[in-house]
Amino acid sequence: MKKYEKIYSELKSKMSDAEIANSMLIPQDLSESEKLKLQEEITNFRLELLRNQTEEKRIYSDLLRFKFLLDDYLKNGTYHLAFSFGKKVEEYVRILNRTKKSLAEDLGIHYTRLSRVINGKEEPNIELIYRLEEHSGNLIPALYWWKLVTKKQEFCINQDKDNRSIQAQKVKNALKFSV
Amino acid sequence: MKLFHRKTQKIVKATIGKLSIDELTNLKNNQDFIFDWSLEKENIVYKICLLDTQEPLGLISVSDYQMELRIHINLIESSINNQGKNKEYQNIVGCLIAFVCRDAFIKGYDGFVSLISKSKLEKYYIDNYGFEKMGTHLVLHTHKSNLLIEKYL
Repeated sequence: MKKYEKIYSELKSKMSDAEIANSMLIPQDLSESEKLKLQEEITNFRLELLRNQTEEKRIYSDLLRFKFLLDDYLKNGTYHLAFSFGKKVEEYVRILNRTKKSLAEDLGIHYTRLSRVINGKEEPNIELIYRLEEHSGNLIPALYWWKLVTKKQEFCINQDKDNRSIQAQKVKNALKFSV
Repeated sequence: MKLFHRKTQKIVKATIGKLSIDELTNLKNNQDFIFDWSLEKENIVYKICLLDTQEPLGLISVSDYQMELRIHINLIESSINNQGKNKEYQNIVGCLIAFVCRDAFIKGYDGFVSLISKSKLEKYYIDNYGFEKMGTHLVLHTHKSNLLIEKYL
């Protein structure tokens, strides 16, 4: 009896088909020539699918790629300039295959402001974050955009020794504890 | 990951990570699994474990077909304690497939994942995980792939 067929037959005496499928993937026993034939079949199907991919589906897939990479960065990474809010809005524009001007129009903000945000000269407010969430068809949650901003702020607070020291000198009667 | 502990009826945290060649070698004759996972050395194998533990609750073997923008699932198995009626944790297979779908988006493959199942079991992969039949292969991509990610991860 073939390898996987044997395993399946043994399992069948203990489990239903549904239980087996919920526990594992049992592949088919295939000869080398069968494997080659199936490989060709799936290759043709995949390439055909790629050839006929609509712009809508391309954007949908690319936005999910963008989302999952953001998710990984926000969970694990330390701040990186390539993941600044501005850089990511710029990437968003690229994925949509649009201009910054048309995105600014869609978001109801002046192009100059969007440019300033993209170049890191102005921080986005929460209203802009909500608009970006809506604009992405809710694929990119507002919290993801917002965390890009706060991650940079965290980084700046940790690094900003000079300003911290300047501000400390302006404080009177700072609490002191001897405990 | 959303693994479900049947006894306490609680969702528990789990992580998925890649197995090293040494870990795969050590799986030979492992009593927790029916398949011989040490034979999967040429493929990429991931394990799902409870948070802060090393013991695999399930394994998945995949091959990355970069030219076709596709990940193929060769084999999946939950550990013996997580098979059948009296399994300890639920959703192991779903989490492992969803993890691969997510990777297939990150790689720019449109979430495209394929597998070849024993014919008698195909129906369950179609009904439970949203796979579509494509010749002998079952495939999952774009929206259905994302639905699985939302459900299990």
